[in-house]
Amino acid sequence: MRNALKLHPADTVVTMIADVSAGEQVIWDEGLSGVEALDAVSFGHKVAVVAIEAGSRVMKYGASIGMATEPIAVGRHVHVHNLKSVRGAAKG
Amino acid sequence: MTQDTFMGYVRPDGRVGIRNHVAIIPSCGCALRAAQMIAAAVDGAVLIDYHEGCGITDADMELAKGWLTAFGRHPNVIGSVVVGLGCEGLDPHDLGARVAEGWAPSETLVIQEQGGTRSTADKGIAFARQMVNAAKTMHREPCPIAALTIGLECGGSDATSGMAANPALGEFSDLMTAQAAKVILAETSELLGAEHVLRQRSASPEIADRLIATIDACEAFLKSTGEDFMGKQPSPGNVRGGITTVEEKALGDVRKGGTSPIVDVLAYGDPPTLPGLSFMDTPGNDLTSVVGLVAGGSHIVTFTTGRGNPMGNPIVPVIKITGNPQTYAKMTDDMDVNAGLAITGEKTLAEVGRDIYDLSLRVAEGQLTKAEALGHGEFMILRQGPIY
Repeated sequence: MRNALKLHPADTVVTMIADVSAGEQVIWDEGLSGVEALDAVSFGHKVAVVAIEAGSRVMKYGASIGMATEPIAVGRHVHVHNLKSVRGAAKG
Repeated sequence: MTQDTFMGYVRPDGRVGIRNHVAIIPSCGCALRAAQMIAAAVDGAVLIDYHEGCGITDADMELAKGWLTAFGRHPNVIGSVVVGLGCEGLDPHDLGARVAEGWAPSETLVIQEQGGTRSTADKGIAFARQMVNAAKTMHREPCPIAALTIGLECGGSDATSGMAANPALGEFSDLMTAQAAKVILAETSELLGAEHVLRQRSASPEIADRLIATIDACEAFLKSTGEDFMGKQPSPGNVRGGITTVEEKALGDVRKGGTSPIVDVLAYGDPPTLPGLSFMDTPGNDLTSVVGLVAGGSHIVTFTTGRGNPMGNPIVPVIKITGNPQTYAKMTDDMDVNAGLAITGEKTLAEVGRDIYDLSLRVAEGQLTKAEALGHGEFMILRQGPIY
């Protein structure tokens, strides 16, 4: 049963449309096996579906939504603890 | 394609109204109480809750006067009472004279000339009642959808806004622009990171350049405060709802505009002149942005909200659309449309967009939105300079 949405084929994250516990599967395409959640992730929050290197762009809607501040493993919750805006900082 | 129509009020100046409100407009915060007393006493009168009008820069004063005039001359307004104090910077007689240049009647009362709050309120109540009575003979007649101006707004966003409510509103925008309505996308600070989408969507390279320059100027102005966007764009509620960065918010926000080309770039409060989708330079702050959209002549504001924002506007119906099924269930008194059905798979985005379109025509013909029925009439106007 699908519990996440992938908004663009190039995206490196999916968005949960149901809460998921660590160890449960995150499924955005019922034809695919999905990935295992490494964290509990709430409705509306993002999960990495490919490994993301520190300093690289995180992709959603087929575009950059910011930069990873640490390496992000497949299945990790992606949010303010490991993703930073490139556009919204006052300096730099 | 068939030309849709709705029943509206054709005004003597040729514009079309969808409500018959009498606007009570204070020229400064010190006149607010008298204005409140008038609005509260007269069924059909609404308060324009303006608090400033004194101790602001000449530039802000002139702009505020223009936007208050636009409210007084909005096609949903069939009469105005301007209430001044008498010693404020924003001259109430000048404001009243500008409002009176429109087709609708306007009266100006100044508290220090009238002999106080009570006598001002009593006279204002009598004027407002006359205006309400005069509107009783007005009747609706068939009008083309092209007569409508629609504002697009999002507030209290969460992750469902970009996935469901905003793309559904984009479907609605496309239905409206196909009927040659004027549709306004806004909220400049919420577009940082979506410039590539906007460039593609612009009707010409010149429009694209103006649009990007507007976003760049907004970014430079906000960064001149020395503060990060985080906590403002996105807001704490946006972040709890799953939005991490301003770029992510922007890519979801921009979907409100649908797929038609952006034909013009407007300053805050300026009316669109071309049919189709225009962009207006407004802040992301919802109250301020909606007031800009209404000063620009919007008849209806369509407002997406994931977290659940209840705000309205004194003279224009605001339609609330949530993409979050839990918010719709929790805040059903405030929410008009459940776009969360596109997340649960019960409806497509196109079906929800059609629902918003059908509802907007009923609202144009007089059906009250949830915000109207609750009496929401929030008002906040843009100010760039200091208060002295």
